Amino acid sequence: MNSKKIALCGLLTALAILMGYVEMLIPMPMVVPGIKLGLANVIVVIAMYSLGPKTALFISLIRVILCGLLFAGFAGLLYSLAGAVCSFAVMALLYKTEKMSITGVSIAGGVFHNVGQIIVAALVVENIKMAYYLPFLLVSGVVTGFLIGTISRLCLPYVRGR
Amino acid sequence: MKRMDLILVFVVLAIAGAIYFFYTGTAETGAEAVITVDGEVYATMPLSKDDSLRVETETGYNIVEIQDGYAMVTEADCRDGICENHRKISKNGENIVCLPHKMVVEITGGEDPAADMVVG
Repeated sequence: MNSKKIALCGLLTALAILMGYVEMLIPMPMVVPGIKLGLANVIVVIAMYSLGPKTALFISLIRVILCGLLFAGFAGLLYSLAGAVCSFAVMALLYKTEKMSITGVSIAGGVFHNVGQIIVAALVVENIKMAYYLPFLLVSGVVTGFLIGTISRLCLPYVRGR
Repeated sequence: MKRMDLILVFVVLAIAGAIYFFYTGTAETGAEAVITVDGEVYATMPLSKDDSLRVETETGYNIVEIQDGYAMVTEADCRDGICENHRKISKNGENIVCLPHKMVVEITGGEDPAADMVVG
């Protein structure tokens, strides 16, 4: 790992944490609980495509832990972690197959982020009927995933270019 | 966008649609609101009678209200207030969840307890 890569990792991690904060400032329509833009995923996707999945995983985990401790508290940390791990696993898998574009990978990430969170939520309240929210969260995952993927696609050349 | 991307979007939306119609298609107006805290039944309220109940949990309280056959959470001291903003519910299987308090308000038919699946 050379110093340029270390610097880039630090920068991306800081940005990812910042994104988590910026996102809290954006009001979202409260039709269904749990709908979020997932801005931090922009950074994870960019990291995956510019530095590789392994580095992206570390950036994602550090972001979740720091963000959780700073803003959300332990319970929130658990949901973020479940979402982040679930979404990352799927994204890394699809990234490796190279069958999808960056937008597709991001959409899958958005969808599975929500799936991971709802599984933890169902376990916490011990009620499988949480699945009632699943359709709304799946659709929102596709929409936000598409937005995130588009942003990442447009940003990536600039990160790679240096 | 590659072809696989579109397939992915289509599949996810199809699954979402299927689950949605499974829920709304089979849902009938329920008879009771069952309130559970941490997976245990706390109280049962018939939807036919206007009523209000203060649910005390270890982490705080929620006020559940029954009005005109609908159940809703009108007040809570949790930090996010998601349950307060939730629309009112009346159909079988619909629920309002307060994650910080581990409280769930769920509508059931009343006569078919086997339909209520509780994981625990």
